[in-house]
Amino acid sequence: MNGRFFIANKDRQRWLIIRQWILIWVLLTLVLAVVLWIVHKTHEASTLGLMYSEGQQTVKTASQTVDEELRLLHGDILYLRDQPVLHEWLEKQSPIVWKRLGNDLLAFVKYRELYDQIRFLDEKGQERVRINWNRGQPVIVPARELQDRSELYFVEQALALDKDDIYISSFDLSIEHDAIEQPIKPVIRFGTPVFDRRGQKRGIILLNYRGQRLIDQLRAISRQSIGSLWLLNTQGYWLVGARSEDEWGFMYPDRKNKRFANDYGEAWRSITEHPERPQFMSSGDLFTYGAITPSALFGKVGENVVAGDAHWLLVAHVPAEVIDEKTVVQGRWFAFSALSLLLGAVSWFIAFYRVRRRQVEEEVVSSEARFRGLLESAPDAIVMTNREGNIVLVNVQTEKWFGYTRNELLGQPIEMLVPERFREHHEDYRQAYMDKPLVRPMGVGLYLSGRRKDGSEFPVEINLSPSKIDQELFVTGIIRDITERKRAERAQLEAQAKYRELVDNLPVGVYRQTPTADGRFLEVNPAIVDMFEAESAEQLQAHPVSDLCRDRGCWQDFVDKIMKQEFVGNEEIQLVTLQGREFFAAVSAAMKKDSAGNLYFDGIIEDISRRKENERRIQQLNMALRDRAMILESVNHELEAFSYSVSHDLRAPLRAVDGFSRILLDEYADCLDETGQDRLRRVRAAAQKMATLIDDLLKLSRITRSELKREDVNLSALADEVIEELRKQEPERIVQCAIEPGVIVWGDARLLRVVLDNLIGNAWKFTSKRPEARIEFGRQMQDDESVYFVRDNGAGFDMAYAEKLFGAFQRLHDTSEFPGTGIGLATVQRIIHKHGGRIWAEGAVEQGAIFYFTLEARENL
Amino acid sequence: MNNKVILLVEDNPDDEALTLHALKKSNITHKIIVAHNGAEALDYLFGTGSYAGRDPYDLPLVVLLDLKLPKIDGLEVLRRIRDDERTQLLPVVLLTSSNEEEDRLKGYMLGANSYVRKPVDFDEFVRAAGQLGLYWILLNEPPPD
Repeated sequence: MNGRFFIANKDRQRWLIIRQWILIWVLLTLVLAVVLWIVHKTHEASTLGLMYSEGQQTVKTASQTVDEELRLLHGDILYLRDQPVLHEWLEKQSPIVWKRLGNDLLAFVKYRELYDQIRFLDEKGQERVRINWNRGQPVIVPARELQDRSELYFVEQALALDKDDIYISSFDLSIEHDAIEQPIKPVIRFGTPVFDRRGQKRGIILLNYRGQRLIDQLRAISRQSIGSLWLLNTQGYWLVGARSEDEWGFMYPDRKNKRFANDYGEAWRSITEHPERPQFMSSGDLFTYGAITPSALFGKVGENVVAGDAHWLLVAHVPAEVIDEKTVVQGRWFAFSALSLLLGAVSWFIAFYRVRRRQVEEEVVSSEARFRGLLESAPDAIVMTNREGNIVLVNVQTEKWFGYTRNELLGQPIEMLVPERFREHHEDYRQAYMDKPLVRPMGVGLYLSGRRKDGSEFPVEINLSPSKIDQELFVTGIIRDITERKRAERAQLEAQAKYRELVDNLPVGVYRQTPTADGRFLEVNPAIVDMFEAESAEQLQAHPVSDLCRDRGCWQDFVDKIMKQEFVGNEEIQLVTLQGREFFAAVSAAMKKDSAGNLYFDGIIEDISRRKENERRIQQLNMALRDRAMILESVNHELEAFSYSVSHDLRAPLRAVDGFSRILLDEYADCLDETGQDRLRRVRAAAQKMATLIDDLLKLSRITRSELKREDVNLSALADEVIEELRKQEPERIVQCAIEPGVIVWGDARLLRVVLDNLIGNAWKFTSKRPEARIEFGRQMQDDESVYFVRDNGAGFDMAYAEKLFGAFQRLHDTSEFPGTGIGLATVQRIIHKHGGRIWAEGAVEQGAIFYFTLEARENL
Repeated sequence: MNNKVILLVEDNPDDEALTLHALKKSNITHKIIVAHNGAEALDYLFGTGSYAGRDPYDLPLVVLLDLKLPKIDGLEVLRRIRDDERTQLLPVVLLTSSNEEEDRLKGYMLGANSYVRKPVDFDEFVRAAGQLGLYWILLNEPPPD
């Protein structure tokens, strides 16, 4: 993996983590939101439920309080009505009894602490007895301070009641001297008529209940509730409200609008129109209410309750803000943010580990793929078996070599790849291996074979290695087809044997030697044993090599030279056999190094005694040859000098003979008779003939000496020239000539001209007696060879003398008949031979002659 | 013109006689000086030896030079003639009995003006001498002095 890829991978991984992180975070945050929402809703529901029941509880508690209080009053008023002292006073009207009555009532007020006033008014509405609470110091109001209260509406109403009826006034504020008493005194008045024993209505008992007490109790309840507890009268004015200025609106002219209906119209409608729903939500506020109907409080038979108020309403009010405050989990946004952040962190870890895990998985997959690739691309067959010897894994090479498909192999016992005859043993071996699993080659030293599906076998080499995967033992067999190797080994052995044989049969000595001057032969071939006249290789190897040299120093030099140059070729060294015979040898050696780094010399020794002898002889022969050549050269020189001298000196006397004979004939003809003159003419002719002879002889010798200057020569043209010259010399002759045109040869033009001069000249000469002379020149092919010829129809010759034709000075015709020196054809033959050709003639007397010749072709030169 | 001489270098008395005869027969009337060897010929030309005092600038019309001479041979004489600025333009005709190519080639290479083979047939000799005289003596304009 290179660096750039690694970085790219790293970036990719970071990006993956960030993507995963954001995704997971968003998801988790959504889940969180949902959960929080559900929690919120549940909380809200339960809180609301709690509030509902709390509201109900509040109203119930308040209702009970009011009920109990009123029942207490109910009991009290009935007690006071039936008090014996009162009736005694009504009977006797004595001041003492009044006093006693007064004291009894005083004690009652004092200790009951419920009432602001207790009064008895007679049937005319005149106060007769009155006890005032007087802020905890009850007093009996003196008689002179008692007033006529007949005009008061509640007095009037109470006096109108029948026996056992009870009057309960509306809940309002105490008014004294036509003004609301300050501080305000909430009050409920209870009254009941008093009848004497005769059944005569004598007046009323009137209790002013200290309403503040009830209000305080309700306020206490309100304080303990979540919201606030209100008390409304029938018209919806607050008796107990949220603020004191809202209360008692019906008592104050400027507070007439301070009604529940004005502030909470919807709720008021619900209360008035749906009395069956004692609890409802309105504009987010929770309202719970209960009605107290004073007239229905004491359902005793025979009692009629007349109430100033039709009913009072106890309303527990929880405002929306409080509901929200209670239902909504405080700091939910903070919690959400904090949790979200926490989830962010968690998401990061999840994303990180997910990506990491995926990467690891990918790595596992790619490692698996690599493993597969390795497995499948392995040049060997790989087979894995389990403890039972069943095949669990094979690679493609296994399929290829054994001819089975993968499915045929998997799950099968490994023995199916083993030739039948080994199978039984193989199982035993396999068991033994399982007991002691080690990495090792299988069947060391044995010839192992694999069995193909078709039953054929092939040599294999197997390596076994155990591996534990998940506590289970597997054995991996790596099987190599060694057919090729076996063949190569065999071939190598054969080659070695062949080379061994070659070396053994070599006529030169081959050796290997330790690399020191006094080293021994390590290896020798038979030729070297014979060379040193040893009885055996061992005998020879027992001697230091230096002992086998005539001169020890010479061998030391040789060894030094090899060490320096690594190779020394054909060093001539005089060696000594074990029998003491000396001989010359050419020794070559090369320095080698074996795999362990040890040096040794490989070399050959050749007995060159015979070669030396031959060289000596050749040298002798060469010297003799040189002497001969020198002699030949001097002879040639002499010959040249001779012919030079001949050409000059032999001719001069002839010229003198001829010249002076001529002068004699010219200037002294008078002194000579005809016979004398004829004799002189013969002298001249002889001299001239001799000059011709000398010229021809010189020409022949020149040809012998001269060197060929070869070129393309047009023989046809040369023949034409010769004919042309002959015609000039003897224009009177009529000769028919047929020259084949375009005959080109490779030779010396000047010499070939001499050839044609002679051959055509002869033809010309020997046809001189023919009236229809004919001369031909041409070329014909004989046995793939160009043969040139000159034919005539002249005098011809006797084939019996054909051999003599080409000898010097040989003539077949009389000079008188056909003049000539007899040197021409000898010259021709010499020229043709110099051209590597042959010349021969055919003819018959008086039937013409044909001269054939060949020339060495250019291609053969 | 007629006071110009012809120098014949010839050692063989027979050839000398025959040459003189042939020249005479060819109607060449110039005075012919005969030197019998190369040394004598050079003495004549350069005014040395037996010819001391002779004006070397008075050159012969032509030198007829035999090749085969005792002491200094004809080719050497020719070489010396051509080596000396006084005689380097002197017409020299080689007269020889040999027909050796080598001689001919050497002669021409050393600056011979002509090469004439002396034939054995005297009639031919006379013809050749006549033609020689006609050309070199009567027709040829010698180089300026």
